[in-house]
Amino acid sequence: MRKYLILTGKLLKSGLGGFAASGKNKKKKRNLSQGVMWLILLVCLIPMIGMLYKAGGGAYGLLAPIGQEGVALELAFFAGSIMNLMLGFPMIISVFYMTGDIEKLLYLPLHPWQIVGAKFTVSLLYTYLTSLYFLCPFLVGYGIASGAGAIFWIFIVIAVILLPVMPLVYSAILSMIIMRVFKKAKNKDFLSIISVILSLVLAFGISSFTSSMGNMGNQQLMDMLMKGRNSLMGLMNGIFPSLRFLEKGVAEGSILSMLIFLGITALALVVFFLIAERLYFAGAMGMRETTARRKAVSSRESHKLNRRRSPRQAYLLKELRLLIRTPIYFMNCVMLVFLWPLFFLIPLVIQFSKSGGIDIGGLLSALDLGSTGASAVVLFVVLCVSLGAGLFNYVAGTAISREGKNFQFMKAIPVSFRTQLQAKLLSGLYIGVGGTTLYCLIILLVLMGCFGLPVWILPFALIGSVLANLIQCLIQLFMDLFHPKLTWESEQQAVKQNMNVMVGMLLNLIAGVGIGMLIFWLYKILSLPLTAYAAVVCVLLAAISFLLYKGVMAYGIRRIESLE
Amino acid sequence: MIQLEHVSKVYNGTHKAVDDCSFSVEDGKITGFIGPNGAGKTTTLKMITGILEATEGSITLDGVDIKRNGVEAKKKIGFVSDNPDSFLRLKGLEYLNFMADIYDVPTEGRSEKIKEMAERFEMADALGDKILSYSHGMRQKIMVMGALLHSPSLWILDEPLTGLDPKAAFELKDMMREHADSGCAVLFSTHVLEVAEKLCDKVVIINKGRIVFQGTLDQLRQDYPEGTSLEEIFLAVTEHA
Repeated sequence: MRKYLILTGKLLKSGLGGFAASGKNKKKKRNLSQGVMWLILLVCLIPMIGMLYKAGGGAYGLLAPIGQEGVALELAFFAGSIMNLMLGFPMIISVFYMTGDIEKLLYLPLHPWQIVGAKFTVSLLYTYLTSLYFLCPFLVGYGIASGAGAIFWIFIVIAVILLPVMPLVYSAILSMIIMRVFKKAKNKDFLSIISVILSLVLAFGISSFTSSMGNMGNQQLMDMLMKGRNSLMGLMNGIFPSLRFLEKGVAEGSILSMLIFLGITALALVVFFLIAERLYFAGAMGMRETTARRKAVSSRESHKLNRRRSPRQAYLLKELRLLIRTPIYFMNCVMLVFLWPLFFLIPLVIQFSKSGGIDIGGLLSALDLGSTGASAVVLFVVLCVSLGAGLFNYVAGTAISREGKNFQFMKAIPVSFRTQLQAKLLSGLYIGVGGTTLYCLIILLVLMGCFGLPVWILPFALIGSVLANLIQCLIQLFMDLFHPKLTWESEQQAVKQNMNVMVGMLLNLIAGVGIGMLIFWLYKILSLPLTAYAAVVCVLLAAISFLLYKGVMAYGIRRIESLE
Repeated sequence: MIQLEHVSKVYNGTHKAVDDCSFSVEDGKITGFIGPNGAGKTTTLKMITGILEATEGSITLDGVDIKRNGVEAKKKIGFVSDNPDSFLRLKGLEYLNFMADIYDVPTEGRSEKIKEMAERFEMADALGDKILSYSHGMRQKIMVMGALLHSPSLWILDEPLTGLDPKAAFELKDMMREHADSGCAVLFSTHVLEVAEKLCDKVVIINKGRIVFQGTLDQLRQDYPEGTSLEEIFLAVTEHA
C-alpha cells in the first residue's frame, strides 16, 4: 500500500509538472504569472459557478412542490457521469498508454496492481478538478435550498468522490480491450487516436440509447409522476445502474441505498483490477515503439518533398504534421473541434430510429429559409457554431507550450519571431476553420441548393466564421505567450495539465458572449436591411481581429525575446 | 569567424554563468571548447547562436552582430544542439526539407545534397521513417544533416559525437576537417579530450564561467609542462583556475 501511495504521488507530481526552478527571481516571476492565471481562472469561473449554484437551488424549488426533487440530483449525477465518461477516454489513454513511463516502471519491484492502481488514482484525481467546478456548485445549491441535514452533506461528499469511478472503469476497460486487440497495429499513434474516437462514439451512443426518458410517451410520464415521491428518478441512468442507488441514498437519506452504491462501486473496481492485470501490460508494452520501413525513399516521394517552400509555409506544415501525428496533441487540441457534430448527430439518429422518423425536409421547407428572419437566424447560428465549437480548439492555446525543451529551436533559426507566431496562429486557424467553417459551408450549400436559402448569406457567413475563429485563436495564443509551460517530461503535461487551455477557453467563452451581446445591441440600435447589418457585423469582427492581432504580435515578439 | 568580446551572462540578476569571456574562432580552424560540467560551455554556445542574449559584451558572426541582426547572423550558422530528441514525429526527409526551407536552400541541388549526406552517414534507408523510430545515434545524425544542409560557413556543435557509432563519428570528424580546410570555422564542445587532441587546431578551456586558456595544444603543453597527458593538463588548468 505504501508503494502504491508513493507511486501515485510521484505520477501525480510528474503529471502536474510545474516549472523547473532556476533561481529565486525566476521563481518569483513565475509565481506571479501563475497567480495572475489563477485569478483570471477564478474570475472567469465565478459566473459559471454562480449559475450552477443557482440552478441547483432553482431545480429544487421547481421540483420539490411536485415531489420530484430527486430528479434534479439524477440530472446532476447523470450529467456528471457522462462528462466523466467523455473526459475519461482521452484521460485513460493518456495516463495509461501515452506517458511512456510503463517501461520505466516495469523493472521496479512493484506489483501490477500497484502500477495500475496508481495510474487509475491519478486519472480519478484529475476528474475531481472538473467535478469541483461543475458538479459541486449545483449540489451545494440544491442542498442549501432544501435545508439538508448532516446525512445529506456526508452523502454528497461520498457521491463526489465515488461518482467518477464507474465512468472511469468503463473508459479503462474499453480502452484496454481496444489497445489489446489492436496491439499489433503498425502505427500506434494512429491506433491511439482511433481508439479514443471509437470509444467516445461508442460510449456516447450507448449512453444515449440506454437512457429511457426519450422512449416514454406523455401518458407514461404522467403515470410515473403519480406514483409518488421521486417516482421519476431512474429514467436517465442508462449505463450507470448504480446511480439510482446513489440518487435514492442522497435524496431520501437512505443508508441502505448508499451501501448498495458503495458495494457496486467496489465491485466495479475489483472487476477493473482483474481485467487490468490481464490486459493492460500486454497492450501497453512497446507503445512508444514505432515500426520503420528502412527502405530508401522513392524518387517520386523525394521529388514531392524536396520542393522549396517559404519559411512560414514550412513552419506551418511542421506544426500541422506534429499536431496530427502526436496522439496527445491530436486528442486534446484538435479532435473535439472536428467531432462536435457527432454529439448532436448521435442522439438525433437514436431519436430518429426510436420515433420512426422525423420529416426534416418538411420541417425546413416549412421554415421558409428564403425569408429575412430565417436568413438572420442562419447567420446567427453560423456565428454561434464557430464561437462555440472554436472553444475546443486548443492549437493556438498550446502553441508555445508544445515546444517544451525545443523552445530554443525557435530562437536559433533565422526566421523572425513574427513569422513563427504567424505560422502558429495559422495552424490554430486552419484547424478551427476546418472544424467549423467547413461544416457550415457544407450545410449552407445544402440549404441553398435544396431549400432556397439566399446565396448572399454565404460570403457573410464564411467571413464571420473565419473571423470568429481568428479572434479565438488570438486570445488563446496570447494566454500561452503570457504563461507558457515549457518544462515538461511528457507531451500530456504540455497540453493536458496546462492551465492556459482552461483559462483561454473561459476567456473565449466570455469573448463569445460579449460579441453576441454586441451584435444583438447593434441589431437593436441599427435599423438596416439584413445585408447591410451582416456587413457591419463582419467589419466589426474584422476590426476586433485586427486590433487583437496587432496587440498579440507586438506582445508575443517581446515575450519570446525575453523567454530563456 | 566568430568573435566574442567581454561576453557575460547573468541569470536572474544574480548567478553569473559566463564571466567576461573573449575569444575568437578563426576561419580555417577547428576550435574545441572544453570545460567541466556546469562550466558555462552550453550557455556560451547558446549566446553565440542567439538562443540566449548576452547580458554584456558583443558577439559577431562573420562580422554580423547576433544581437543587432539576429536573422542574418543565424543564417551563417549550422548549429547542432546537445538534444537530438526533437521533431520525433516528422519523417527524416520531412525534417531535412523543413530545415532546408527554414534556411532558404533552393530546390535545385537540394536532392543531391540530401542524397550525398545520407550516403555519408548511412541514413539513405531511414529517411522515409519517422525520427521516433531512430536510435539515439541516428537522431544525432539527422540533426547534424539538418544543420549542415544549407552549407553554413560557421559550424557550431554542442557535444556532436555523443551517441554516434564509430563510422558516423569518423565521417563527422572528417567533414569538420574538410570544412575547416575549405577556409570556414568550426567550433565544437566536447568532454572527450582525446577527440580534442586529435582534431582541434585550437582549444578554448572554460571553467566556472571564465576562459582559463585559449591557444594551440602545443602552447597548452608549454604552459603546463608538468602534465604528461592532456587529461592531466586539463585537470591542472581547471583546478588552478
